[in-house]
This record gives sequence, C-alpha cells and structure tokens, in this order.
Amino acid sequence: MKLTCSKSGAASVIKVTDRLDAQSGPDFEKSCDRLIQEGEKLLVIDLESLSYISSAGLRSLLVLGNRLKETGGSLRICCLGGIVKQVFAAAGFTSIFPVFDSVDAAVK
Amino acid sequence: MNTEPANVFETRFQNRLADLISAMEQTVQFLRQNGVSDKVTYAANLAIEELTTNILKYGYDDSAVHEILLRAEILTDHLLLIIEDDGHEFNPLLASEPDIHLPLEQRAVGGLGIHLVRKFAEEVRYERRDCRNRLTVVIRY
Repeated sequence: MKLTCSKSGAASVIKVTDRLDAQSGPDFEKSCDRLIQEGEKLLVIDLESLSYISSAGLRSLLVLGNRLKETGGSLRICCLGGIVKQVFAAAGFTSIFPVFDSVDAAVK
Repeated sequence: MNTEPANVFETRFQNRLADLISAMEQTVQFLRQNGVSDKVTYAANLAIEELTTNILKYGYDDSAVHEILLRAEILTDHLLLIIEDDGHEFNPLLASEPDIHLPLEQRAVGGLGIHLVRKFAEEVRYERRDCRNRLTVVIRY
C-alpha cells in the first residue's frame, strides 16, 4: 500500500494505491487518524488506484468515518472502480459513505 | 520427488500474520501465472484472507505455533481452495449475517468478511474431521 496525501481547499485528499488488507489496514488507519487529530474535518479517500480491499480495509474506513463524524467531520470516497466497487456494494458501503466519481466532485 | 500436477499449489504456514500474508501472495502469484482471471483471483484472495485471519483470531486456545494448510486447485470450470487448521472446532459459516443496511454509526464489522466470501464464491463448506477444521471454497470461472 502507498498513500499520497494532498490538500484541496478544506479537504485532505488521500490517494490509496495497491492493497488495503489485514496487513496495510492498520497503517492506513493510523495515517488518517493523525490527520483527524491535527484537525482535518473532511477526508476524501481516492480509491482509483486501489486494486484490492478486504473486510479489514473496510473496517478501517468504518472506524475513520465514525471518528470523523464524532468531530463533526466526514469521510468521502471517490473514484471507485472494478472489483473494489463490487466489494463496496456487496458490503453495503456505498450507502454509508458519500461516493463521488472524481476528486473534483468529492472536494466541493 | 514432487508429484503434484502443475495446476495445484499447496503451502503450509504458521499462525502469524506475516506468514499468512506471504502464503496469500504466493497463492495469488500462482493463480496469475496460470492465467486465472482477475475476478476469480480477487475472490480467491478475499476467501484466503478472510478465512485465515479468522482462524488466527478465533481458532486457538493457546499461544503455541500452529500450522495452517492452504491448497489451490485450478480445475476445468472452477477454482477449489482448501484451508485446514488444527485449532478447536470453529465453523465461521455459523456467524450471523451482518445488517448491511444500517447507517454508519450503527454498523458492526463482525461477520463482514464471511459475508463477502459468500458473495464472491459459489460455495463455502465447513467440515470437522480428525480434530481438524477444513474449509472448502468453490469459485466458478
């Protein structure tokens, strides 16, 4: 897994590359958690380059989404595609997070 | 002498996350090298990760080192995965289905892994035999 973070207006955009699984999920969660502790309210998770996600990766997103909600912030997902999109749908995650087709749409 | 046919991959690994990840990567590499589609490879990866991490989390009553067997067979019209462990009797298929329609703050993550495995595989079976747990996963091409 590789994370690339950038700022776009009020949002922090985190591009996740490769895999979000039992091994990389905790590192991803820790990195995003640090941003939340620094006061970030809007996290946009760009999953265009994500090739694999398991329940461990989904669990990290759930934890982060709830943490942001507690602080009055929110977590948005963008650029879902391929089998990762099917996993999101099968887990019912497309209905708990706002999902956008592009980073531009998600940061607005 | 190795008498395994070329379309079978078998590995034994210890009940540690790093070993599990390595066994999973080797299996995925074997499937890719043998031309298994991305979708079937993904489903196999998911089944291996979800079922074996469950064994690591819930399968043992002691902190000893245990061995887990993982076998993948590329057959004519489906992929067969077999996972065997020597933990206590544990049937992950008895886990209750998660409610995937609840809002964010009410979502529980328990059972989500098994739910996904079932969605992407045609069949998942559990057997207890000779003091071993055996999970069989059928993924249709």
